[in-house]
This record gives sequence, structure tokens and C-alpha cells, in this order.
Amino acid sequence: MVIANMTGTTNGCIDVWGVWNVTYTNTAVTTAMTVNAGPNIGTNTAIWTVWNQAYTSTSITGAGATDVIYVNNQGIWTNWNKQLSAREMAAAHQAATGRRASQEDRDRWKRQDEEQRLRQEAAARELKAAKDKAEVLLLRHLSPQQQEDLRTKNSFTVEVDGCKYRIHRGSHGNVQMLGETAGQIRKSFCIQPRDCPEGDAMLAQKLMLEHDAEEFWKIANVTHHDGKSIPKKDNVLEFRRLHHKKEAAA
Amino acid sequence: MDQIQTETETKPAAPPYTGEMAIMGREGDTKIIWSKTTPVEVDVAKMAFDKLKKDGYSAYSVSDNGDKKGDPVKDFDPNMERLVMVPPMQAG
Repeated sequence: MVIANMTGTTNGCIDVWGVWNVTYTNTAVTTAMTVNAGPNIGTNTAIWTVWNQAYTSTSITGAGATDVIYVNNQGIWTNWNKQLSAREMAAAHQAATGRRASQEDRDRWKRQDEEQRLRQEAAARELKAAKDKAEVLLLRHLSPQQQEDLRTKNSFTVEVDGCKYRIHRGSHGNVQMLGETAGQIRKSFCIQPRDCPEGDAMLAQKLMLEHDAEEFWKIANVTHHDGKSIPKKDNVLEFRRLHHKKEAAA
Repeated sequence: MDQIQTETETKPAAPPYTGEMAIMGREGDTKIIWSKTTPVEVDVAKMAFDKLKKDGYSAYSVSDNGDKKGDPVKDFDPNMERLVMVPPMQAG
């Protein structure tokens, strides 16, 4: 959840209002404002409608409150923070002043666009290189069967004390404990190493399950097959119940 | 015409590395390799290992193709052939 501060750069929040104003309005904000969730109401017209054009699943609580709103969508935050393109800057300038931006300004914005594009391309290259590297490390430590499963099913299986776990391609919420019958899922787990690409996360999950499954359960957010979370304090008890039952049977 | 003679200096070959530590990180893994017969390499690898363990990393001794499940490792041993260092795990 993102808490967006409407009053400028306080509390570590970026000047959201300043960015909105460039694009949408000339409205000044002092210490507080009201965002109208409905379109074209009051002086803050259609801001919410504009957001929703891009982010239709977003919900808002506290609309009409002053100072702070709570927005449940990281995408909005990303969009607020992105640099406006040269075209958007020129349009905003024209809307705000009624005049066309100077050639100097437009050239500067274009240069910024180009710099931004190069930065994004470099970041994408680095991301891909990291992902590829992690994939090599993962494959190196999978059995031939696990490699084949990963290639064909996008997941592989790990067996611990007679219990089967499936690790799907991904890094968050991608581990499941399987049930006795085919396709049955008993539990899902959300656990990953800090700041690692997908392949590394999957290998870390495999190694931890194989070597210290109880600790794995202890750290993870665990949910039942019906989507209900297990309270953290019960994780280890549930682990012992399921694993010891299996061990006794084996 | 003078004959040109060339001398080739033969250097002793570096000992092949015997151990490898893959440290997981944001940019993919970084590898530290060492030869157990080269003290300075062993020292560097041990220093890196100790620092990572102090930072909460888990160490696993592993083998190719997941043939052997390997073991969690508490202390650095230069005789180990392959290690994977995993950053602290956290709930999502």
C-alpha cells in the first residue's frame, strides 16, 4: 500500500501534487486538499477518472478526506514518479501558459527523453544478464528430471520427508506443498531471498526446503489451499504435524 | 642477415582451482574461486565466507545436477568443492 501525501515533499513523499498539476490542472494546493473520487465534481475535476483510465482495478479509501489518501496500487505510484516525456512536457507547458514552449526547452526535454531511454535500456540489459546468470546457476543444480520439468511445465518438484513441494517459475508465492492426489495443493508459501533474480530465488527455495524445511515454514507466509493464511505462530506446528505424519507412515 | 632469435619464457602454470563459491545477488551470482594449495586464495575465500555468514547468508555445499543434496555449511573448509551462498530469506 502506498500512502501518498498531498501536501508536497513531507514525510519522504515525492511532490505528487506538483506532478499532477503539470499535467492536469492549474489548481494550487495549500496544506490540504480533497480528491473527488467521482468525475467532474468540485474543483478537482476528473483526476480519479484519469487515473482509472490506466488502472481500472484500483480502489481508493478515504476519498474526501483531507491531507492523505490511501491508494492500493503500486502502478499508480510508479506512474506518478515517472519522468514526463518531451511531448507531455510541451503539452503541459502549453496548457499552463497558453504559449508554445521555446525551442531551447523542447530540445532540452528531448535530450532528457533520450537519456531516460538509454538508462532504461541499460537497466533492461542488466536485468536480463542477471536473469540469465541466475538461470545457469539454477539449472546446474537441478537433476535432469527437474530440468526437464522446468522446461516443459515451468516448475519442478522437491521431496522432503516424503512430502512433495512444487517450485514454480517465479520468486514470490511460487512454492506449493502438494497433496496425496494429483493436482491437490495443500499449502502455498511466499518466501524468497532478498534482492535476487528469479533463478536464484528458486534455487534458494529448493536448497532451504531440502536442508531446513522447518525453518522454511517458520519464515514463510503460508496459506491453506482455500487461500486462508495460517497465523505465523502456527507455521511450525503445522509443519511438524504434516511432516511427522508422513515420516511415521514411511 | 642476422638471425633473429626469440626466447620464450615458460612460466609455471597456476594450480587449477579446487573450490568455487557462488554468491547470490541482485546481478546474478558472483563467483570466488580458490586453489587449496594457494594460501592467499584460501584466505580471500575464507574472509568472504565469514563476512557473508555474519551478514546472515546461508551456505550450502552442492554438486552438479542436484545429484547430492549437500549439506548446510557452518565453517569454511578449503577442501570443499562448491558452495552456494544464499542471502537471508524473507517472507513475501
